[in-house]
Amino acid sequence: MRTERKWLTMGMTVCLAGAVLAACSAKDNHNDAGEQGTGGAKGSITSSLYDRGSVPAKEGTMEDNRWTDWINENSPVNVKYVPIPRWESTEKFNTLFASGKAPDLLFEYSAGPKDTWYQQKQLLPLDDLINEHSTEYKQLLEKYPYLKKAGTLSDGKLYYVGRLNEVTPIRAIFVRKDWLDKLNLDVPTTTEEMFQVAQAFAQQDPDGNGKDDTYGMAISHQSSRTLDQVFQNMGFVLRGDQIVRAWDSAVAATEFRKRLYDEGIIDRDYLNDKNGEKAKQDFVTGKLGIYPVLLKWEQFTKNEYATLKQNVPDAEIIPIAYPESPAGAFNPTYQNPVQMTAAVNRGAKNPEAVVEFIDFLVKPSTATTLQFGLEGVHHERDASGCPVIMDGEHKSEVGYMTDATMLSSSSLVLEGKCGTANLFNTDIPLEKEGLELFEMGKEIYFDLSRPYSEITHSEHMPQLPSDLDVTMGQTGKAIDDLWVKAIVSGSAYSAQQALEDAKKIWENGRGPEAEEWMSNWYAENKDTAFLAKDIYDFVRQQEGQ
Amino acid sequence: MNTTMQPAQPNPIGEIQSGKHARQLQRSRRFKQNVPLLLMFLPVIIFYATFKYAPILGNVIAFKDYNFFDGIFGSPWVGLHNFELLFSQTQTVGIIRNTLLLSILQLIFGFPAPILLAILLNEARKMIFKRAVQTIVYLPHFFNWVIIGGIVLTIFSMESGFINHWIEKWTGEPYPFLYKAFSWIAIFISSGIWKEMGFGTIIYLAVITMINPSLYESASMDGANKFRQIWHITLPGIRPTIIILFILATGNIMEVGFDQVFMMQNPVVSNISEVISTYIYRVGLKGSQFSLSAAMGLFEALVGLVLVLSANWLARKFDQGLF
Repeated sequence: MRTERKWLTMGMTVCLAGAVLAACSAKDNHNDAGEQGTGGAKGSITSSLYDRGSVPAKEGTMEDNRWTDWINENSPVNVKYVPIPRWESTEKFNTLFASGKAPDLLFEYSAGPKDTWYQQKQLLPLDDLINEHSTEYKQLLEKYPYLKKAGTLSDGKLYYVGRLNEVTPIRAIFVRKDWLDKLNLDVPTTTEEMFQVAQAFAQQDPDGNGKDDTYGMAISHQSSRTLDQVFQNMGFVLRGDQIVRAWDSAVAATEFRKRLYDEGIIDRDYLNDKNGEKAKQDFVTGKLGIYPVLLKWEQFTKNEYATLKQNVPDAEIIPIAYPESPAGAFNPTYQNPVQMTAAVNRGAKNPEAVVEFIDFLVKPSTATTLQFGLEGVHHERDASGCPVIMDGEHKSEVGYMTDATMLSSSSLVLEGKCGTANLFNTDIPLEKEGLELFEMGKEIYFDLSRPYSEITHSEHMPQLPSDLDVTMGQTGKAIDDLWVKAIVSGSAYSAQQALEDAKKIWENGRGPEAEEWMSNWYAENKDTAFLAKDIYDFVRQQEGQ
Repeated sequence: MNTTMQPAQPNPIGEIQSGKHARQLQRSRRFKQNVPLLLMFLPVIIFYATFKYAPILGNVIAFKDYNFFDGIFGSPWVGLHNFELLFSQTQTVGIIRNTLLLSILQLIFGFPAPILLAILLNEARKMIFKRAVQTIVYLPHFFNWVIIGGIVLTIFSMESGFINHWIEKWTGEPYPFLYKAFSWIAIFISSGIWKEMGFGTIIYLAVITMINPSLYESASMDGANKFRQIWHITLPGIRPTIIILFILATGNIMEVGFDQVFMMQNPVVSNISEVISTYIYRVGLKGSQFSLSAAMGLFEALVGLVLVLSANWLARKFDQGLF
């Protein structure tokens, strides 16, 4: 009897559990069926796609919207996108790799994670695949040998695919021109002058509302790195054809920030602003005087600048050249002319289909559609034959898929027309002003008599050997934390004390070893590696200087 | 020889054998009776085997140069190289020290808090008051650390924090609560107590209700006041629970929960706020050094094991051991 009751209880439990599971799996089945329905004879692949959270709600999500539908209809393969949060891409990719769910086609700008995949033997060599299955990208490789050189790694095989970009400055410092005029100040040309201007902006009520609510400058997130370039606080730098660690720059940059902090010129909670949103908000609400940024000019115009003008119609901004610091006067980062943006996962089940998809993305017509939408609906051709997005009900349907075009080379490079300048629709007053800002930016930031603040574009920097790289990661973080501590600690901890502590950490944390490795690398590769002077060559060629 | 000399005695070996046989029979019958129960237990065993025990094997990557493609078992062995690399970094010792320091402080201040609260609540006379307080104090347990991190910022930050808003009015200068080691630790520990205290109280309150009320009655007849009653009846009554929870808590001494410290740390106090779990996240997941962070994790687990064993050894001295 007892046994029977136990069987009964068990049977009922199993039934209940089964019912719950069935409900779940029924849903899965439904999904599978949906995907297979659109299938057909085309190959299927997965691809990563940055997600910046910028897709308008009514358009759907980054991985499922009108343009992913368009891609699946028009491309020779079926693509399932895996969204990658833009500012946590490394973590997301590593999680996907570790769980065996990494997509076949991997898009990433930074050199670090891509190099890790290569070290981890996670990438597929592409030479043969491209030779046999590619047409578009193969042509591009033949026409632009730089692409092949930048994509070939230490074992002599091609792993990365990429694109050719129009060179534009992608960092800038914006200053509120109307505030300068109101307070009778000149455009700052040295860091000391920049400090004074920032101080005046913070303390002399430039917006005239009678409240002490303005900040002189922003130093959180990307603003911080732009400011570091002003001081050439870029770690290993080139001084007189020698690689050195720029300790003096680090101290100068720290002391500058410390003064800003002590005087209350910056938001003293800047450390909590981990993604720069607070600084952006201060800027667009007209509370911020000096705004160092990382930017795409046309997007800055359409977003930050447009919002600022909406909130404060009288606001005027200008880009200013990097002020002269104790280490010199520098140029900002330029868009990488030869940019490696993608690699193929070694675990890809259908590598031929991936190459077909790469070819599809390389086609200029694909890029035009993803960036500008459909002709006649979303864009029209201007006088020079370049696509321009039309103002109207369909405007919000385009513009958010630029991250799907990471393999599209600039048509300014390929065809000599339709560059960044053509992205501005000059019929709209706001965009006309944006174009003026862009022209001004090019004028001042393409001053090639100034040195580039880094040895080369960060995406072309060599990677330290794995073990050394790990230890240097630790060392670097410990030292960075010391600078921050010096900034917020007032008189209790000065930049000089931080320097002494930092040098100790540097000595114990294999710093000298890394310095020697970099020096040797530079001595051996300075004639062949892609360095700042090569970037300048691209600028000269493009601008006809 | 023996059998011929004492024939009357039954064969002792035979008796043992038949007794064994009977017990075997009984055992197999009991097994058959319990088959349904065992079958129901099977999924639980499978769950623990696949999700709790099998992953332990993954720890071998601490002794390997792990890469994704060769996988856990295919990657080449490197012996103790990862441990050497780990302890050759000057920051490692500091990180372990921080982990120990923060969790010992958490134990010292956080462990007695729910006991105190449970006793206080137990002495509250109005039922409605008791219930209301209990609900309110255990509400924070359901908040995510992200939310609490935000709350801490709005209270203590330099310009938007409301405490500094007052301080600035009185003294003219805001106080950098989150940038000073001492105040940061205080905020860290107390926010942890605030979040978890109410939830921990539930267990102790449940145990207190199990104590026989006649003990309190006779004690009060003997003239014991409230404090004496707490000291001599309530506390001894919940002592076994306290000890079990204490042993479990020492097992966690090497792990400061990731969420809390990750939400609250900032670069200024990193020399005291960088702990093993955040190190593993930063180096392992962000820097893809899986072997290195597995070595750190293994080290953490070993120390945790030693601590649990010694806490249990200590408890056994007082006849209260868990195992």
